Amino acid sequence: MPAGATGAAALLWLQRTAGNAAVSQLLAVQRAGAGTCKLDGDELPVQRAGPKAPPVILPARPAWQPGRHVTPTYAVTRPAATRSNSTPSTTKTDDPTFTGAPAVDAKGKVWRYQLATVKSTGTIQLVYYTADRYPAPTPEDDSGALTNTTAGNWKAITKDLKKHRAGVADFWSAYRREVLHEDYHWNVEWQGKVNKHLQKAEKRIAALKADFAAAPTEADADAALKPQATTIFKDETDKARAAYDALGDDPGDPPYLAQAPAMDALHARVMAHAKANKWS
Amino acid sequence: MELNPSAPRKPSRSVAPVDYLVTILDTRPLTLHVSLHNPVDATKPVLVPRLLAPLGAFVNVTVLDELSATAWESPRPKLGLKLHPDRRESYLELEPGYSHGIVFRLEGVPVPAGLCTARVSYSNGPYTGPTQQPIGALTFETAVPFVRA
Repeated sequence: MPAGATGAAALLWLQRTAGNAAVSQLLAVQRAGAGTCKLDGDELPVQRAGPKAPPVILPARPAWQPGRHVTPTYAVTRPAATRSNSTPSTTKTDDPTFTGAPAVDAKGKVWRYQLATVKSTGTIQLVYYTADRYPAPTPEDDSGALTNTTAGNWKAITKDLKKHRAGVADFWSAYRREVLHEDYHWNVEWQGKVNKHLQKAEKRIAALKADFAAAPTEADADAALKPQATTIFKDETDKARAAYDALGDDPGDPPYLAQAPAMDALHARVMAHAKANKWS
Repeated sequence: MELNPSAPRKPSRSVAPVDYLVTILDTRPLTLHVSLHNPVDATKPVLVPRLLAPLGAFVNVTVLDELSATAWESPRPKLGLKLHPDRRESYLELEPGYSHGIVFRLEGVPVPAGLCTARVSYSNGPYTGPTQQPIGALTFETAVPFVRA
């Protein structure tokens, strides 16, 4: 700085020397402080430090909520039950879907992707045997009168119900068996696998980021992050489906064990009915 | 017959000389006929599982586009079986030359225009034959090209 230069002359010299950023800072200091600005020698740290990076301006978008977990919604369609002595009841599951949006990670100063909802749909088609195969034929929940149960067949009924409680029915069966079996697929197996892999998807998606320079707007961030989130989500739901498909569904496997309480309850009803009628 | 409904059914080699046939009946909607048959020159009857449906349980279909990318794949439903795998009534006996088949009409399936391929596979799953007359595991897969206008 030229000898004797003070005030405006010193600032002009400094602006030429250190640039506008340094002068702006210096002026801010000067406006905030009382008295004149000291410009002597080593008292100009801004001159030594050089220009600073411009301040990060956070986009005015919803804040990212790290660790927030989505509770998926499960909706199963249950068409009216049909009857057949050969066609199985079925549980079909559709690929889960999600919604989400970019969100601002203020601490990390980047865009993240926040899952908002996850939905999974499916269809349970119950197929009952013909009515002659149920000890209590109406209504279709084993609660009705035991009109198909007689002194001549009650032993065969109870033997069947007991022997095939966790397997494929022989002749006699329980309506609720179908419900419990298919509900197990939907409630325990499918939802269990989806929930497990959704957590993994959330963790992987939470690691995605786009910086504000590369994605200045929410639309830019969505274009950058949503495809990646979609890929991760599909990868994890594919894994969930593979794990679900691999679960055993043969007699004696968990879905068949899940139906056993229905067979046991009906067995107990028929036994009590026989006893009350003094059948032997 | 004594049944053991809780016993695991392990896959075994097929002992039944069963042939398979896939025919595309229509492409709009895609309609396929899948059948198991006892060859004309066979010398004895064979047992085949009665159950071929629902689609995805025993018969699986994958539709490939002209670049061999998967356009659609049949979902795999979970089943609550009605027919006991150990019972003779769960199987049909086919004399030589006879077949047992099913028609699948794939309503609403997004089949792309142009040259496509239907990859069709079959597995008899737990229906490996009655206790006294095992037929073992039956599996096959074939690819049938077709053109969707």
